Amino acid sequence: MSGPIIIANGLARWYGQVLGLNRVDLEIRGGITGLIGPNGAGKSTLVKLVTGQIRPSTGKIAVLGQTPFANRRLLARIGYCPTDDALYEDMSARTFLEYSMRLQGLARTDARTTTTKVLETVELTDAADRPVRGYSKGMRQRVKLAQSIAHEPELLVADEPLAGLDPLARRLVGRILQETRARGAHVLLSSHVLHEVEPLTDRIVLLNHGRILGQGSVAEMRDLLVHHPRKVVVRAHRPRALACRLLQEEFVVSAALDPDGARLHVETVDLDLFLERLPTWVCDTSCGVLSLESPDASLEAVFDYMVT
Amino acid sequence: MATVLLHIRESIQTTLLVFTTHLWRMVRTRRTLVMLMAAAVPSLPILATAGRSVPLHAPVMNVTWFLAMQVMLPLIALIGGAAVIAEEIMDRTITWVFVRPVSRIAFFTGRLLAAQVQVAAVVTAMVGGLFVSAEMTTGKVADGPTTYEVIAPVLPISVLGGLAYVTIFAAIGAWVKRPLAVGVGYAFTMEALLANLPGTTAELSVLHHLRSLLIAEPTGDLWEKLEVAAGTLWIPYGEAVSSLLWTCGIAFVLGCWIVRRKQYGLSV
Repeated sequence: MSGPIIIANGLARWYGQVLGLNRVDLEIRGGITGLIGPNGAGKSTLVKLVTGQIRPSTGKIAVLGQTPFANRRLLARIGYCPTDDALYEDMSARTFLEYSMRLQGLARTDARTTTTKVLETVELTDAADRPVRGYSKGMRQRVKLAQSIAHEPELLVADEPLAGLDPLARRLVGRILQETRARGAHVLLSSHVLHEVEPLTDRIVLLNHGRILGQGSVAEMRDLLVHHPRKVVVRAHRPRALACRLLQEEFVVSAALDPDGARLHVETVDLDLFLERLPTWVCDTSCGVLSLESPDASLEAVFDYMVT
Repeated sequence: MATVLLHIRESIQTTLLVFTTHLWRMVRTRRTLVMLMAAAVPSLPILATAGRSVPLHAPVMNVTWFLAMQVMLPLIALIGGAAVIAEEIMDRTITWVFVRPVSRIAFFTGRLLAAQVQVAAVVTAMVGGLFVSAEMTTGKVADGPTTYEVIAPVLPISVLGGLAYVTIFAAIGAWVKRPLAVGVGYAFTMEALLANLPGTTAELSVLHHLRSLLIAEPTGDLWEKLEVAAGTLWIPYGEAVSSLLWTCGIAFVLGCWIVRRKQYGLSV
């Protein structure tokens, strides 16, 4: 499919008085698209609308050219990995996956073959016959992902698939998503952590308070964010000397010391360049850096900038 | 035509898959244990009469009429029936089904059938318990009915009542957020009130139909003596069975309609 895989026009969803999604116009094309936003941004609402779990309050949504709510033809072409950790606790991963594949419409033998194959893909073969209740967070995440990719869907919708995973599990999930993309499927990947999604996505959609703040390629979004000053807090042995040096740079907007003089609060319009040059300045001024943190690294802070 | 047949075949396959998968899961839950404990309750007062000089049918019939039929049967059916959809919502596992290309009606039917089998088994155990406890008690009268004559008709009537209640509670469970609370209100307020009203109003309750079926049995005159309300109009046997089956059917269609329409994504 060369056109958009998801089209939303004036899409809104209320939960009583609470607004989940506010008149969203959206076109998502193929590839891996990251749906990024802080908690409560409306990501899960959009994911539920895309996977046909809820209906829009107003507006329209089309997924792969069809209306999603309880649409069996469309659901046969979608894989969904929810954020919820709820599984049939008494079932083993193998039983659960076989049951899921049977519900998908596969015959018993095909369901078994598919299950065995996908268990290998998610590296769960050894634990496949143990009840899910004894699984770790990472293993449960792999079970959820396995049921969403086993039938080789055209569109995979993954809601926070990296949340709470250790680095090894993250790498595995990342690899699976890339493989899904490589076989020609499209992926909608929701997350509240930008840097998690960045290496995986072709395009991102930024959501906050039920509205779309921006959408485009990762590079385009980066450019958009770069124009906003980013905060960096530095603890150094000679913060005053460092502050004097920093203020000579054009991309450093401000540098202020704590009242007790222990920490230096810097604002920069180019965080990457700042971090690249910091070691040189530290050497120049002979002020050892004790710690460095960027409170703006979280997406919520970036959103604050964008909203204001 | 071929498409319709294929659709029906797929739905039947899904129903059977859901039924076989979930029956075994339902049986192994703590809920089954609670249901079995509730099923054992009516046997206790009968056992308490052991060794006393009372006619056999007096404690057994009182317990069956007032405790088993009026309290424990709807309670067991409520525990089993309310869970048909509500359990999946509470466990947040309903997502796994409704994002698959399955018929929601087939899923509801499969789970409902599993709950009906579970409740029918527990109700059978309850009636079996009544029979065994009655046999264990020593009180007998020469010209009274035997334990078998008293208890045997109770089994099919209780199972039929259980199926009707389960279907009603399954529909309630598919509709409201707190099906147990609503179900308790229905079973022990509305049902109890309607069943004990004089005239034809009692026909609006399942309980009245169950009592009518007992009254229509050969031991009916003994059961009727337990009825304290004057002017009760009993329903003929065939009509009562037919009404209960209709109740099952209407509740089932209503449950299907709710399950098909409802946005369960809001609940999980």
